[in-house]
Amino acid sequence: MPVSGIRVLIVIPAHNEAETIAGVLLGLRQAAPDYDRVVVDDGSQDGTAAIVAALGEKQLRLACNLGYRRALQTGLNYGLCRGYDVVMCFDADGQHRPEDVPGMVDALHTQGADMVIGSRFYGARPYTGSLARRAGQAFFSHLTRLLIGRRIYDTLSGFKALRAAACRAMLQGASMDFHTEAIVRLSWLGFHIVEHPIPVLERAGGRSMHSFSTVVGYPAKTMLLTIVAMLDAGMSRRAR
Amino acid sequence: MNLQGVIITYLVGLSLFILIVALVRAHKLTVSFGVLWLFPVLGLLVIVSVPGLPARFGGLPAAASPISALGLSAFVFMLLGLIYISVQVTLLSARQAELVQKLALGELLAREESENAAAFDLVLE
Repeated sequence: MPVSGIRVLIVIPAHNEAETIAGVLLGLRQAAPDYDRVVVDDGSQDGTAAIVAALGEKQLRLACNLGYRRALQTGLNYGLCRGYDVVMCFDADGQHRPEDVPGMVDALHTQGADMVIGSRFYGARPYTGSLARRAGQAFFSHLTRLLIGRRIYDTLSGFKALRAAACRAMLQGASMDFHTEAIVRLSWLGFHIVEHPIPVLERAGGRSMHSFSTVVGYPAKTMLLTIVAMLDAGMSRRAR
Repeated sequence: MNLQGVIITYLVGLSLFILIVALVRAHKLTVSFGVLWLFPVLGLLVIVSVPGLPARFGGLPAAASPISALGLSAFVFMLLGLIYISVQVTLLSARQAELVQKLALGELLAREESENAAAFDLVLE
């Protein structure tokens, strides 16, 4: 059952997702007809923008490829600008199921949370994924437990629902992909974060943004950003 | 390396670490550059932490003399120079990204406003 009386925006960052974007948007229309959607076309060169336009969907067109973080940041800013109560992040590669969207918003309300993370590793049917991904996931999951006192099983999930206040706080910090560093920052600022189990489908098309270089560089970057997030949140708390 | 040298190197390394974290926090250095410049700093700290390693490391390129104060000064000078250039590149790319984002947001907001205005005209008619 959709939560009534609140305005929800689903932000879908997309870079060269022509193969999957139509299916994702049609699925969202069907599964969450009451929620608004905006696609952030991150400088795609494969006709993604034309498909979104042909479907009559809202889109933010970035003139060049700025990367996942900047694309998401643009969509979240649009949500805040338009006064949405809840903003969701949803991947354009077809790995997230549109039918899980209402459940995420419900979890936000029933659990009194500020952010709900769609978790692939939490629940009855945990996602397996590659060895590197599982190892990284386990490391950051334990790191969050160390830093916030509670384990978050899926720190790398791109499927999230945030209340406007949490979204604003997340955008103010230095961030990379709004993963571990954002969770630590929000948690240290006193926002309540919960996980909601979701199944994840195999990538339906396009290319993953993760490569060998990201596997090597990602942990180092996230560690540095987590230190920055802790400093930021600690100083903000002291200033209050 | 004697204790005095280790302490000085630690102080230099710690200062560079604080500088890099502060620049990333202030959005003046992208995290990629931050990580890139942290690696040599951490490498330097590891080398001076292990007894005997500085001399071995100094002898790697078949140099006869051990690591000198001049070598440390050159390292710090070059790293500061590279950090400065990285900050300038970061600021430029951040401005460009903000411009692209504002353009995209402005386009969509303007389109929505004009659609709303058109709908309002239809209601009036």
